Amino acid sequence: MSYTKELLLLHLTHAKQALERAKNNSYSDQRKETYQKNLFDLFDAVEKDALDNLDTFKDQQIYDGSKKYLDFIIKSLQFLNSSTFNQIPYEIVECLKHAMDDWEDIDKFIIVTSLINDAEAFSYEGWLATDDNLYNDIHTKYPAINFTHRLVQINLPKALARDYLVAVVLYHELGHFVDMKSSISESLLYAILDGIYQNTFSVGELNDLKKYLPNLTDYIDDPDRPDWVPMKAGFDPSLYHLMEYFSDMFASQYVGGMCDLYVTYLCEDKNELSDTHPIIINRRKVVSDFIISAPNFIVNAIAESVQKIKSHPLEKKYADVPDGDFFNLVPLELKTVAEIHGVLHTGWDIWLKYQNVLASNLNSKDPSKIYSVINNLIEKSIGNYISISEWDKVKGTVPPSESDAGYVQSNQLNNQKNILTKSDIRELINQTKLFIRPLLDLDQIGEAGIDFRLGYDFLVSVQGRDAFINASKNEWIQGGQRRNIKQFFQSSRRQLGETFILHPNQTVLAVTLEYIRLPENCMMMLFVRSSYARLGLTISTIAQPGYCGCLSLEFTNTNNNPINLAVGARIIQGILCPVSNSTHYFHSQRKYVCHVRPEPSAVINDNDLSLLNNLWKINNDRP
Amino acid sequence: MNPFNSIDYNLIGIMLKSHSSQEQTFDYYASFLRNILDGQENYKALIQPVIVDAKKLVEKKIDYFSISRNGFEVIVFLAKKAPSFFSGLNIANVSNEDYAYMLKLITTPSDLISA
Repeated sequence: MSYTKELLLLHLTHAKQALERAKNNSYSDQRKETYQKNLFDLFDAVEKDALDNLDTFKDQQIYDGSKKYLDFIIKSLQFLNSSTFNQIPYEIVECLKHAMDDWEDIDKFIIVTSLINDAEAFSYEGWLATDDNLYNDIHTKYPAINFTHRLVQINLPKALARDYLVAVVLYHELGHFVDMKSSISESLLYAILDGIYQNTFSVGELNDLKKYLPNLTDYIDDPDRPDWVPMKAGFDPSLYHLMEYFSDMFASQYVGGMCDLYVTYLCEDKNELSDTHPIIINRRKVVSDFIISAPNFIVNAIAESVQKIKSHPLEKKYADVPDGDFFNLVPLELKTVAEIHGVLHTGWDIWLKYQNVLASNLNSKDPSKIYSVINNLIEKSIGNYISISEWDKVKGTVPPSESDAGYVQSNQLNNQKNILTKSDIRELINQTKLFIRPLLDLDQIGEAGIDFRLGYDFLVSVQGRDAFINASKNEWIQGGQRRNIKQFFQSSRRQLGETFILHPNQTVLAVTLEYIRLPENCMMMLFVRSSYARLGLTISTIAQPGYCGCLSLEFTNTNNNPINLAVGARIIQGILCPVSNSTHYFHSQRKYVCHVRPEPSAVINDNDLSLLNNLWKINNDRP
Repeated sequence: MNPFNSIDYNLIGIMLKSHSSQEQTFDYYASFLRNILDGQENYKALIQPVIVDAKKLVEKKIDYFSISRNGFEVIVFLAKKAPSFFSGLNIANVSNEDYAYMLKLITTPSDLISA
C-alpha cells in the first residue's frame, strides 16, 4: 500500500467521524436535513468505491475518485455544524436571505454560517455555492445522489454573532457570493483588458483605470504592450480590487455607507497598496459616488456589467426607517423587506449621532448599555417582522378557540377595581403609552388582561461540576471560587410553531414573544393561563411600571410528566394595575434593560447581598 | 492544480474571498477530461457546454458578459490560450486527441494571460 493510499484511508476516517458527530444536529430546516442526508449517501458511495479499488488506485484517481468528495463532505459539515438553529444568527441570516433573493433563486441556496474564534473573521467561502461542476460531477458519478441546494458559506466572528451593527459587513460578503456566482468582476476585467489592448479607452478613462486598478498601470503605460498580462502582478490584484469595489457597492445597496464606514475603521484607514484590497480612499470614493450617483468610471463600469449579466440594476434597496420608537426603547414596526435592511442603517445612525438621547432616556452613559439596547431593539424589530410574516401565513386557517381569558388563576388580586380592562388597555396603546410588539392578534387583549405568547429563546438549567449555584456573596464556602450563574444554563432556540419540552422540576428561563413597554404608572402581574396551570406549569413574575423589554418567564414544571409547549402559544396572562404615583423606570439602577432574550439571574448584583456578606465576615472574623 | 498558479488560496484576513473556487473549477474540469479519456462517455456532457462557449467566444459570437457563468474561467482561459484550435474545432465531433489537448492546456501552469 502506498503512502497516499494510507492518507486516503485517514481522510475517509475523518469524514466518517465528522458525519457521526453531525448525525444528531437539529436544523429546523428540512433543506439542511436533506443536504446532510445526501452527504451520508455520498460518503457511503465514496467509501465503497475507495475500499473496493484501493489496491488499483493511482495517485490521480485518489483525487478524482475520492479525495475531492471527502473534502466536500468535511467542508459542508463545517458549516452545517455551525448552522443549527441554536447557533445560527437567525435574524441577520434572514436579512441576508432577502438580499440574496434580489439576485439569485433563493430556493436553490441555503445560507450557512461558521462562527470563527477570530475577531476579524468576516469572509465568504465560495466553492460550495458558486461551482455547479462539483454537483454535476457527483450526480454524474452517482446518479441517485442529487444535491438540489447549494450552501452559501459565510464566516463571522463567534464573539460578534449577535452584533447587528457589525453585521452590515455580511452584506459585503454576500456580495462576493453574487459576484463569484455570476463572474461579474471577472467579466468586467477581461473586457477592460481587451479595451486597453485595442485602445478603445479615452485618456481620462485610462487615468481612472490607473487610479482604481493601479496594478494595470505598467500595462497601460507600455506603448509596446504585448497581448498578455502577467497574472500575479496585473490580473489577479486587479480582479481582487474589482471584487472589493463590487461588494462594497453591493453592500451599500442595503446598508448605505455603514459597511464602508466600519471597514475603514477596521482597516485603520490604511492607504497602502495591497494585492488583495484597494486602498481605502478608493473604496470610500466608489461607495460615496455610487450612493450619490456621481460620475465615476469604475462605478459605472461595474453597474453596467451587473445590468448586462443579471439584467438587474445596482440601486438602493433599503428603506429609511423612522427612528422615533428606538428612543421610546421599543422595537420598530417594520412593514417591508426594504425596512428590515433599513433598520440596520437606523441602528448605526443612532449609534453615531444620537447616543446622548438614548443615554438620557436610559439614565445611563454606559456605552455598553446603550450599545446593548440598540442591538436588542434591532434584533427584536427584525424578529417581530419575521414572526408577523410567519403568523400571517396561518392566520385565520383555524376557527378561534373558546377563550378562558376571563379566568385568572390567582387569589392575589385584592382590588378588582384597580385592574385595567380591555378598553383601558386599547386606549393606552392608541396613546402610545403602552407598547406591545408584535401583537399578532388583537383578541390577545381580553376583558381584564393581555395574553402573551411563548417566545423562541430559552435558557435551560444544566448540572455542571459546581455543587450549587451561589446566590450569595459568601465565597468562603467555595474556597473563593465563584462560577458565573450563566454557566448553569444552556441557551436553546426554536422557531415559531416548534415545540419545547419542559421536564419535571426543571427550571427554564424564557421570554414572551412580545416586547412591551409599560406606562410609567402601571405595573403588570403575570400568571400562567389556567389551561397551562392545570398542567402543572408555574411562573412567578411581575413587571415594574415603565418596564421595557420582553417579559421574563421563569418556568417550573411541577407535573410528574414532561410538558411539550408550542412556541408562540398564548401561555401567559398579564394583568395591568395602575399605581398611585408615576415613576421613571430608569431613575433606579436596572439589572434587566430592553432585553429580548432570557437573561440569567443577576441576583448577585443586589446591594443587600454585599451587606449581608459583610455582616457574616464581621461576625466570623474574616478579612 | 490551477493554471493561473496565482495566489495563496486560504482566507487572508478580513473580507478577502476565498479563491479556492477558481482553483476547484480547473480541477473539476481536468478531472472530467481525464474521465473522458478513461472511457467514461457520460462526462462529455459536462465538458461540451464549455467547448461550445469557448468556440463562440473565439468567433466573437458571444462576449464575456453572455458566456455561461458555469465554468466561466475555464471557457475564457481556453479561448484565450488556443483561439486557433477552437475556431477550427468541429464541436459535433470532438476527438480524444482534442480532449487530451484541452487537458494539457488547463493543467499547464502559466503566469500570463492574454489580453
